[in-house]
Amino acid sequence: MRFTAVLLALVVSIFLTGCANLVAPDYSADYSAVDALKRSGLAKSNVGKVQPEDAAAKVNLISLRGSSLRAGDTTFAGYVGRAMMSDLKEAGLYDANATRRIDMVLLKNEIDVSGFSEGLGLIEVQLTISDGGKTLLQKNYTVKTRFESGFAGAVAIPKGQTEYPNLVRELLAAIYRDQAFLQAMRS
Amino acid sequence: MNFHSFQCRGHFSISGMARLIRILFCMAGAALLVACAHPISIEAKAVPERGVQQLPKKAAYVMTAADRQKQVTTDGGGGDKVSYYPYRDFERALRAALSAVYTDVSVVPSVSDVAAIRESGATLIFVPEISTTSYSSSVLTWPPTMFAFNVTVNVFDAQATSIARLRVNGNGNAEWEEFKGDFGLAGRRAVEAAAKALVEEIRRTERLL
Repeated sequence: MRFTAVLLALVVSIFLTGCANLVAPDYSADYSAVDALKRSGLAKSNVGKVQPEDAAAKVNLISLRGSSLRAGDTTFAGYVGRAMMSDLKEAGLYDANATRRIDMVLLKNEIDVSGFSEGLGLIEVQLTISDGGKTLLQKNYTVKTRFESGFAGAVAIPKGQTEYPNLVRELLAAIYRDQAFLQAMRS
Repeated sequence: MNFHSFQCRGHFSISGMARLIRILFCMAGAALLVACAHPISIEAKAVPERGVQQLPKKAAYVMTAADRQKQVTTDGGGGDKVSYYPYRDFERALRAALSAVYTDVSVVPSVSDVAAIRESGATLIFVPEISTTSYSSSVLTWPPTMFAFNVTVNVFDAQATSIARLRVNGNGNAEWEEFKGDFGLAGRRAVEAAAKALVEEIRRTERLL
């Protein structure tokens, strides 16, 4: 009887995460980096739509051991764009009517939880800052993260799920601390 | 007779051993899959909005990298545990709560970091201490259905003199039908409730206005 109960709990546990429609948690910034931006005296900018907008594009699909991770009501490219817009608003540097504009193309976007004890995150964007027709900066930014994971899918899958905002946070903090980005935003 | 007796004992012993191995294997599998701490996020979705009547004051809160990496484990359902990062997942809600009251909010690493406080221009420094409990009424599923997020906030002036101590509690409940892949839902609701309560508590405390 007890063995049956354990097996039942086991099956429920597997299906609870294995079949779930997983959504990445909301983004939360690296506020130290955002505060540094706030005090940097940079010009206000607009943020263009991050490409690719196609929800079926490879970078907009993340699979965690067969369970698909979604970015809520947007794509992962849209998630990154919203995150940057939110940070610039927090820093008082966002203006939808500004001529200076930040555009990004999401080139890599991976959360790998296939390992037994460690998960890996990888994200790369091509960022372009322009003003009118003039390109002020075009640069690729890549960030890799490592996080504790587990053999069991019941651990590894939600670990991967909760890692996504952290991966985006690391990427954007790296951009905000980059002197080339600051120089282009200042010029 | 002796041989037969030996055979019987040997046969019993081998099948018993195989059974024992099977049980141990299943128990190990169950332990790996079930009796572990399931990671959840309790990051708020709805945070306090910037107030239309913000006070023209600069505030800061203390949050270090070590705080953000602090992982805690509390009860889930079916004998399982859940693990999460209460400080990291509360930071956006805390910042939004302070921004609902004050015009400018920054983060500083410590209440005694004079240079960082001077750079932020803050005259009020909020230092949160978080404690949490969680529970599930279910014996078959692990996500918590009840979550308590308790925050004590010590408030200092720019000279690190204590000027107030606030306590707010946020409680969140969620039913199985609501989870839909959002296993930290009860925790998220508790964080949202705590942030909302913090705004009200600050507005009630005259020394902070």
